[in-house]
Amino acid sequence: MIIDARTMDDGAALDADLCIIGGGPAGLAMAHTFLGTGREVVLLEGGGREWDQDDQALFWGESVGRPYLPLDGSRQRYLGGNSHVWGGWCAPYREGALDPWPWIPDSGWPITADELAPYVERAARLIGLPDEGWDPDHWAGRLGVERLQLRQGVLDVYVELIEKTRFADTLGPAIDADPAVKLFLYANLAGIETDAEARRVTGITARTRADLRTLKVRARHYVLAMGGIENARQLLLANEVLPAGLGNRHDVVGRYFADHVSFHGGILQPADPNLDLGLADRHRRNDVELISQLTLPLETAERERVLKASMMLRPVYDAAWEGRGMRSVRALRAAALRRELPPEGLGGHLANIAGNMGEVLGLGYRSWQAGMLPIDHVELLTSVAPAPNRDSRVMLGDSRDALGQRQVALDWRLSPIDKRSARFMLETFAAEAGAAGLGRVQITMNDDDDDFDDVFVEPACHHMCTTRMASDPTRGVVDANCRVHGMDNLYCAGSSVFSSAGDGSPTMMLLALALRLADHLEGQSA
Amino acid sequence: MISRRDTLIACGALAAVGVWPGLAAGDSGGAKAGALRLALRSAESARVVGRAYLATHPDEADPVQLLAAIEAAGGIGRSVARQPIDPTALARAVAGAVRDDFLDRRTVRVDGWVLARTEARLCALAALT
Repeated sequence: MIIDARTMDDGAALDADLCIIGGGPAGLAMAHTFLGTGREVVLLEGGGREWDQDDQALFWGESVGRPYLPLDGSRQRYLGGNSHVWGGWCAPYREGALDPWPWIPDSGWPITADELAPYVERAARLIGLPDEGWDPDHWAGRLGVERLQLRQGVLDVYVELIEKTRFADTLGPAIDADPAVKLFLYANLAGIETDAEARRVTGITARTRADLRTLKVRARHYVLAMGGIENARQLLLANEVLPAGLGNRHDVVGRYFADHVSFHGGILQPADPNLDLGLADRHRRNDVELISQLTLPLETAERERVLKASMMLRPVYDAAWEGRGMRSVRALRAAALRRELPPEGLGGHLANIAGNMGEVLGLGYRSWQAGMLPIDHVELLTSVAPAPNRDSRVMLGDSRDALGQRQVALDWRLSPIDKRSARFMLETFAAEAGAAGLGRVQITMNDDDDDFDDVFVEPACHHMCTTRMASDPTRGVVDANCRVHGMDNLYCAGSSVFSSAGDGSPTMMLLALALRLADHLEGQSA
Repeated sequence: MISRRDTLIACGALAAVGVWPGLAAGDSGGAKAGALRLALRSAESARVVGRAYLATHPDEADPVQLLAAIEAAGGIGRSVARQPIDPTALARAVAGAVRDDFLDRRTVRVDGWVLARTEARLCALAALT
């Protein structure tokens, strides 16, 4: 049942088996798991059903480290959370991703890939991915394309399936239909109350932003599922008993903040402008969309003592293809492949094509002759899941939000190994591409691993690791069951619990972990 | 600054030697260098790349030593020693040496471009002769 908290009496009190705070992918997936079980679940979402600037402003924060994207723009405070802007990329973490890597301090998860595997399958179904696995050869065959002729074992290939599921749309209606699961909109977490030892949460307070109406929830278990920055912030804010905040006896809350980064550090000049990237290109067919990336094998990463960097090839077409007429041709072609009209309508595009017929016909003929679009060069986007960095952290700033709570200050940092790994990936690809006759690579980043100013480093807005999972409470905030160390009934869900950034897009993995937590709590309630 | 075009022309098309008939006869170093220089599609582009390479490898700015180093790579030495020089065989030998350089990571960075050592030296030879 979905309820507008602004219609509740001020000071209303609710009891539940489980209180989930945060209506993004993790919170919705957990609530969805309890549908039909009869368990009383309260789910609190700070925003409404639509994006609202004033709600969004509650996410404001300052960046005090490496320049970062605006914090009120890189996350979404309304039902469905960041799934509203999610690119839909999904891939399970690859071999060894959860293992400790001796050459990377603080690496390793307290759970195994085998433990997580059934939940990854459930997450994939929840997203709506095709049940065809992730084997690159399968997808190459399915799409009728080739893999680049690079040596396997030197550069591996992995596939990311793309499905832009908006969880408010897919899971919201079922939640609305179950009276035992109460989802409150506009209910912002305003306080976590605990016993005198801060070992047990005794209740939480939520407030509406506009009129500060109060809602009290008491539950057996509480889950923070507010995102990779907000989870840490709320633990730090809950400092009435412990000055450092809940779960922060060892000064770990907020530390190890990580985001996947892409280094725009090189290009491939193809020997043949009609180079067919095959599976390495982005493909969109009627029923499936995917992209594949190259990655370093784990053995190579270990031998070279680098991270398992990956690389996406982004073709940049002949400048002539960027003319107005051809842009419209490409827009219509993309829409046709999706079997839908372009969002901006047909009229403008048709006028563009008619007004630039010479360009369109000339280049169309050339394309037809060549069989594909001529490539000017290929951008090499090298992605790195950064090494755990304790000094990269979320803290409380001095400013306060509309609820009177201190806002966040983000000190985002990268480590020399992050850049070294990206450069090694480029060097490896350069050699393999040269040997395969694909062309020559220019590396545009310098060799100074401490200098991140010479290269465009693009964060992915994957906020991770601020309440990381670790068996040792001096190195993590939650245990293997996502329970906050030192607390009996407080849990975290979402990418904040990732022990390390992992080598793929985080949404499917955070869903898997959330489903696993839901199962754990279901067992606790039984 | 090396342009993308220079790199592509100088290094991406070494096999173009096949279009050159009647390579210089004789077994002098100069003739060999001439033959190898012709292995590059555009001598001017090769010189641009070669000058950039020599700027960072000044110790190799000796045509005799460069030629010896190039001849030692793969089957290039055998190809240029045989008279008359078979352009097709030479092209194959150069391409093979370049490929082996990449596979074995014998690469150099010239103005950011990752080149096989053999092709960089061929360009340097073009710049010196």
